[in-house]
This record gives sequence, structure tokens and C-alpha cells, in this order.
Amino acid sequence: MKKRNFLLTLTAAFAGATMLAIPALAMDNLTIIAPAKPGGGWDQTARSIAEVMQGAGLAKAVTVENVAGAGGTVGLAQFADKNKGDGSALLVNGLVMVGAVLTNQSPVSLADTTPIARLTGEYEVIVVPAASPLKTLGDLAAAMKTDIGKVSVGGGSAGGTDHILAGLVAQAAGADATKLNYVPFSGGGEALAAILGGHVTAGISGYGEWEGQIKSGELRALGISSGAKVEGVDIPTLKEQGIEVELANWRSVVAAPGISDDQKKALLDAVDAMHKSDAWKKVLADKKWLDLYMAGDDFGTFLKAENDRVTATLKTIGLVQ
Amino acid sequence: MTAQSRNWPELLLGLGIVLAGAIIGWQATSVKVAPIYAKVGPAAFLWFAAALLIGCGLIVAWRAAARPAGQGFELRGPMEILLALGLAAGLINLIGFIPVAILVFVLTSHALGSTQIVRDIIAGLILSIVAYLVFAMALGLRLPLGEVFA
Amino acid sequence: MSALEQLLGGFATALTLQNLGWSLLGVSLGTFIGILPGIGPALTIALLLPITGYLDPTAAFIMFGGLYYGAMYGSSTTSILLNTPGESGSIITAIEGNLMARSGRGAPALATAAIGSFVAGTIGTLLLTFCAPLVVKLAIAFGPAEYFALMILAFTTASAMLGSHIYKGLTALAIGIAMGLIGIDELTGQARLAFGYPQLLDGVDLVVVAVGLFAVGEAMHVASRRDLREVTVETVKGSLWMSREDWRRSWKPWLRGTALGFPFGALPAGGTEIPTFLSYFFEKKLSKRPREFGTGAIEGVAGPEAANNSAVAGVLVPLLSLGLPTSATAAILLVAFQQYGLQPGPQLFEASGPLVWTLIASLFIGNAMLLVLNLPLVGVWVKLLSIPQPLLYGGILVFSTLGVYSVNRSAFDLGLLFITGFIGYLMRRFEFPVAPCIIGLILGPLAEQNLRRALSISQGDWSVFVTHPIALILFILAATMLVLPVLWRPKVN
Repeated sequence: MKKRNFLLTLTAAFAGATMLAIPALAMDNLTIIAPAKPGGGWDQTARSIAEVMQGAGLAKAVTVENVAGAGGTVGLAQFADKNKGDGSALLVNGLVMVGAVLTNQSPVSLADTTPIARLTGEYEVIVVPAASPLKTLGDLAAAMKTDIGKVSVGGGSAGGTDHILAGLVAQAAGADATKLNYVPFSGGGEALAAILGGHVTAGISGYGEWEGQIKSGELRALGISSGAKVEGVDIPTLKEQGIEVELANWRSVVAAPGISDDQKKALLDAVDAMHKSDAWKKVLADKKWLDLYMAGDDFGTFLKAENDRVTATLKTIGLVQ
Repeated sequence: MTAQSRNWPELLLGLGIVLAGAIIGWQATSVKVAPIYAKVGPAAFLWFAAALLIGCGLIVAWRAAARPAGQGFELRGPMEILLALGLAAGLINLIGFIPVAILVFVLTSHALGSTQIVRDIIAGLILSIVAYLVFAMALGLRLPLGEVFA
Repeated sequence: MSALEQLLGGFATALTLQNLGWSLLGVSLGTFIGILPGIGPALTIALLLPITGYLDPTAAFIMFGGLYYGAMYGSSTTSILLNTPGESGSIITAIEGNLMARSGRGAPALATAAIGSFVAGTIGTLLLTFCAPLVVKLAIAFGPAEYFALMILAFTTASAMLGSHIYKGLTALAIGIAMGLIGIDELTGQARLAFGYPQLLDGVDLVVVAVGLFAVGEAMHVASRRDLREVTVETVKGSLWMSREDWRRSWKPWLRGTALGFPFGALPAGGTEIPTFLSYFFEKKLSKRPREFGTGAIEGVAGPEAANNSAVAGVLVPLLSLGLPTSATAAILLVAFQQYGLQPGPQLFEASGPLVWTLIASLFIGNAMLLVLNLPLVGVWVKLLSIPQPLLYGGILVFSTLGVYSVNRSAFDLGLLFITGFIGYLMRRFEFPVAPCIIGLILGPLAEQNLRRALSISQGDWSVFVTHPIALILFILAATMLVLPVLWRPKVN
């Protein structure tokens, strides 16, 4: 087991050395904490990073640890406490955690960590069942403006990305977002079933999750939440249709609070090298993740802006007082 | 506990159930009910559970007062098992899975009347090592090895 | 019959030596993890996901499918013999199954569970092959209003498990409902009964409660009674094999359980537990010897075991044909499909027909393999009971600790096990039935969420429960189930 890993690392290191400049000092050990159960998006992100980093020799040994619970806030709290000043640990997180920190009134927030980089993400789609009388996003916006209570919108958990987008769209459509009739469904396929069965007016989810149903025509996609048209996806953006909203369900990595500038630089370099590697590009292509790379201070600024926007939206839809 | 006609433990249990119901009711008062459409809000089921518990608890207490107490229950064994679990919860991150498993094994078998402590320790050791190997190696499940040994 | 032809093609692929090997590995591993409380097929498949990088999809899905079916078999074994359900789908099996085991009828109980699982798994897989489109329509027809009605119907089955003192059964039900309310409210995102503990925000895991109430509660109860402690369990009384009488009493519950389980598995909020409640209820009500329930009635094992296995087959229908995961395991399987760049859903049968049919064929094979593996082992399993009690319970508690800890890798959950174990002990000590507690825990949150979702969609209009025909029918059925047993009782021997 150990021998094999060693060989793997060695060959990969050689392969890596020819492609890109390896940081002078590869890290010894790196722990990546996925604040969710095995199998989900954060877990897969963590495991992909681990695989690529180890494969490219950016770190000698990478371990993934799952600390699940409460939208990632359990993992966040433990990370900020236990790994304080630890330059060899990363926490996977994302937009969902920004919301969860607020709705769960978590004492620890992402501001208590050291931002490293935004890595991937996914855009959201707004759909209606094929038989719905609503043909365009304009129809949905008009229906919301007339009587927002009658437009039930199904999606994932309360305060999550889907809910935030519903709130933003309602606001942009000029409807009273405080009366948004959002119906959260617990994971799995419950929301999908409710939309296919016409039990709710519209639905919101990550594009990848409903791609099959959209392509087969069972769901009609009214709009996608990207800034510009996504390659290979034939869905108009929200902005093209006059709804000035752009939202990505992004995933990123942050480091522990209280690390030194050198430690921060080492982590940034490692993540940057990983992002440049072909192995990472293959992961993105295989899993259909978008490359939303944004590193260091830019990411820190983005994180603050995103936090403000989510806070305002959650206050409007009444989830945060 | 002299009176045959009174079942003090069960009476206490009934009152405990009433207390649990009261706590749930108290928690229900702090749940915020947003005035959106649903008439049944997040507090409704809390009130329901609280009422059901208080009602049933009162019946348990009332019936207990008229029934003789059960005989032949010992406290030592169950308490030993609780102790084992309490130690497991408190120590697993500190001393790791294997020592905790041995502790749970030995205390439980002692609670069930075993007097051969050496045999139990050996059996517990073998069992926990096998379990550890199977899970950590075959399934890649990460079990704690203990902070004190790190 | 193109489905049949394609299925035969699937068999041709699945029956290669290599694929049979993967199937065997899957069912063996499944049986093993099924035995352990806390470690279920969802977690195991999630942990095994990295192998998708090395295995071709056919081999991986044959193994995962076998694992899923195998877990259900393994779980019923510990449920019956040790009163420690490994998966939530076999909690109800423990009620009658363990009583049978204690009176020396463990072997027939295991046999009826194994054969029932085989019958249900086979019929379920057949239904999956030929009735998928129909079942999918049913799954989509269920909205929040229909689910609420279904939960109320399922709640009435608790009436068969309340025991001799109704107020004690209701107390257990209320405790279950209260535990189900712990955590973040699905609809408003606010915490309830969490008392400031972030670990409670996701609610109390069913595994922790089941292991606490059953395994720990039982161990504490036995430890408290000298008469129970010193009893030597007769592992085998009478025949090791099922008698003619056992067969006669088992076959109808198998079929009824299968019929109940399959549609529930296909429902997005159905699951494997609820059909076992319904099956237990029906078997008790239809039995010519209802009094035997509570002393070890074979129907109470045969029905629920068939129900949970056919529910597993049902889960695969919406997964494969719609890309709709209806259980935690199905959600992980969906991830596995996506790892291979496959998108389960309408196009899967067209785009990767051979893979799907091979998977289905391998489910038939895995199921047969499980029966062949399990029946001869019945005699070996019952020997577990001849292990001296102190060592047996010591082992059970070690695996309970391991299983509960690994659900979330959290010492906090062990603290919860301490509490639920103590509650389980008190319930046994004061003769409260345990099953209603589990029913309340599973059904309570589902009933609450769907009631509130339905009212949210209708903007507070209660009439939805009457104007939706399926909901109305389910409510009428529920009322009938409560009233009918009072008015009409089957002949009691």
C-alpha cells in the first residue's frame, strides 16, 4: 500500500516536473476537510483536490476528512477552532455555507478563516414542467408580479442556493419578495418529482442535476443564472431576459485562521499549481464542473460581497432577522 | 419503597415524561412563526408533541400510584453499561477506538455477570483490532487512533 | 417483448465468470455491512466511490447492486437473532423475529426472512423490468397533499403496535415524534429543540436511536434482571428448517409484503421502513392467531422482510428511468452513474441499454446468490446465540459503538447513544413498547413537512386534502383501518 503510493507519487512528481514548475518546497502533509458526508459535492471536491495534488506531487500525503453537519457549519466551527494557525489544512466550502452560517446563527463565519481560492461551481436553472402554461421567464416574472403567493417555487433546503436565487429573481421581477412562496424539499429527488408532477409552479436547482430531464423535454428550462451563455447549454441567461441576476453555486477552499503569510503563500502556490495542472482540467471536464478560479485577495473581496448579498436576500425572504 | 400499593419509580417516570413535555412546550414558545401562508407553522407539531407527552405522562403517573412496583430489578448492571457508553463518548477522540472498544466490552460483559476479567480483556482486544483492521483497511473508514498517542 | 430480449442479453453479460465474481463480492460485503448497525449501503458505496476510477461501469454497478440487496439480508439476521437491527428497514422484523429466536425458533425465522427476501427481490426486480413506466407515473402523482395522507395512513398502523396499555404506546409514539422534531425545520430553516448544540441541527440520526433503543436498551435490561441473565437460550427447538406449517403461514405474507414494498420504494419520500409498518399491521389484522403476535408470529417476520426487499427493487425504478433518487443509497448510486458520465433518466435505457439490462440481470443473480449463501448458513447463525451472554452483549455494544460513531465520525453521537440507550432501558423496565417510538420518529417529520408544504402551495387552503382524489382515498383508507378492526375482528382461535 505504502510502497505503491510512494511509487505513484514519485512517477507523478517526475511527470509533473516536466509540465509545470513545482513549488520549491512541496508540502509534507495536507488535510482537506469536507464539511459534509461522503458522496456530496463538497466531498467530491475535496477528494478531487486530494487526488490531483498528490498525483502532481504538490503534497506528499493528502488526507480527506469528513466533518458533516448543519450546512457545513459544524465542520467550519471545528476547523476554525482546532486548526488555528495550522498551515497544512484546507476546508472546502461554498455559497451554501455562507447561507448556513446566517440561518443557523453559527458563531463562526467564513470571515474567521483565511480565503485561498474559489475553484469550481455550477449555475442554477429555473424550470417548469413541460405542460406548464408558462413559456418564458417573462411569463414567470409576470405571474410573480401579479400574485406572488400563487407561484410556488420548489427547490432545495431553506436558505440554500435555490432559495436565494428564488428571492433574487422575485425581487428583480418587481414582485414582493417578502411573500415568496418557496417550498423546500429535502435532498434526493423529491423536488424533481414535485415539479414533474406539477405540484409546484416552478423549480430551481443546479443545472447538472436536472440536465437529463431538460434534454429529454420533460422539464422546460426558463433561464440559467450565468453571466453569459454557457458553452453547450442551450438555455438563455436570466440577464438576457431582463432579470438582472447572476448567481453561481460556487465551491472554494479556505485555510485556517491565524496562519503566517509564508504558510498562506505556500497554500496559494499549491492550489494555483493544482489549478494549472492537466489532471485538474480533466477532473473539471469529467464532472462537468465550471472553472471559476479566483485566488487570494480577489477571492477575499468576492467572499465579502457575496456575504453581503446573501445576508440582504435572506433578510428579505424572512429567514434571517 | 415500602408500600406495595405504590409504584414510586413509575410515578417518577410519569412526572419525568410530563417534565419533558413541558420543556418541549417551553421551546415551542421561542420558535418564530413567520406570517407567510402556511397556517400550520414550525411550532404546531412541537405543541402537539408537548401536549401528547404531558397527557400521557399524567396517565402514567396516575396509574402508577395504583399499581404494585415490579420486582427483581437490579441497578448495578445497567449503570455499568451506561458508564461504558459515557466513557466511550468522552474518551474516543482522546484515547482512540481500540482502548474504548475494550472498555465497552469489558464493562458490558461484567454488567451481564462475567467474572473473568482477563478473558474479557483479551476477547475485547481481539475483537476491536479485527474490527479496526476491517473498517480502516477494507473500507477506508477513518477511526480515531487517539490524540494522546499521536 | 423487446424488454425480455434485452434482459436475456443482460444475463449473457452478467453471467461471465468475472461479473459473477463482482456480484459475489458485492453481496458478501453487503451482508457484512448489513449486520453492522450504523454502517449501511449508502455509506459503504460512498466509501467505495473512488474505485469507479479503476473499474468498468458494468462491474461496479453489479457490485453496488449486490451490495444494496445484501445489506437487507444481513440486517435481518441480527435483527432476528440479537434484537439489533442493522438497517432501519428491518427494525420491525426484530419485534416478532427476536421473540421467535428466543423460543428456539430462530432458524425458521431466518429462513422465512431469507426466502421472503428472495421472493420479494425477484418479484420486485421483475416488476422493475416490466412495470417501470407505470410505477414512475404513480411516483410523480404524489405531491405533498398525497404524502401527508399517506403518512396518516401509515400512522394508523401504529395502532397494531401500541401494546396492552394504549397510553404507554402513545407515550412511546410521542417520544418518537418529539425526537423527530429535533434540528433545523425544513421549511423555515430555524432550529428546534437543539438547545444550542450545532450537532443537533441536522436532527438525530435514526441509526443512533434504533441502536440505542434496541441494542443498548436490551443489554441494560438483561443486565438488570438476574432471571434473564442466567437464562440459557435454546438455540434450536424443533426443526432447523421451516415446517410445512411455517410455509403455509409464510407465503401469503411474502406476497403481500412484496406488493406493499415495491410502490413505497418508488415513491420519492417512501423508503424501506414505512411498508414494513404496513405489512406488520396487515399481517396482525389478517392473522387467524392475532394473539400469537407478541409471542413470536412467523407472519410478522415474513411480511416485513419481503416488504423491505421489494422496496429496494422499487427504489431502482425512478432512479434508472427518471434519474430520481428516492433513498440515500439511490442518491449515492446516482453520483456513481455521474462519475462514469452517465445520466440516469429517460435517455439512460437508450444510451446505455446493455449496461442497465446487465445491472438488472445481475440483481436477479445476486438475489439467487444471497439465498444460496444464506439458507445453509442459518444453522451457523443461530449458533451465535450459544455464545455466553456477557461476551455476546459485549460484542454487540462494541459494534454498536463503532457503527454509531462512524455515521458522522462524531463523539457527540455516542453521547446521544447514551441517552437513547437509557430511554430504551426505561421503556423495557416499565413495559413501554419500543416500535411506536421508531414509527413516530420516521413518520412524524414526514407528516409535518408534507402537511406544511401542501398548505404552503395551497396558500393555507385545507380543502386540498379533499379535492386531490388520491389524498382523499388514502384518508378514507386510514379511517377504515382505524375503525374496521373495532367493528369486525377475524375469527380468533
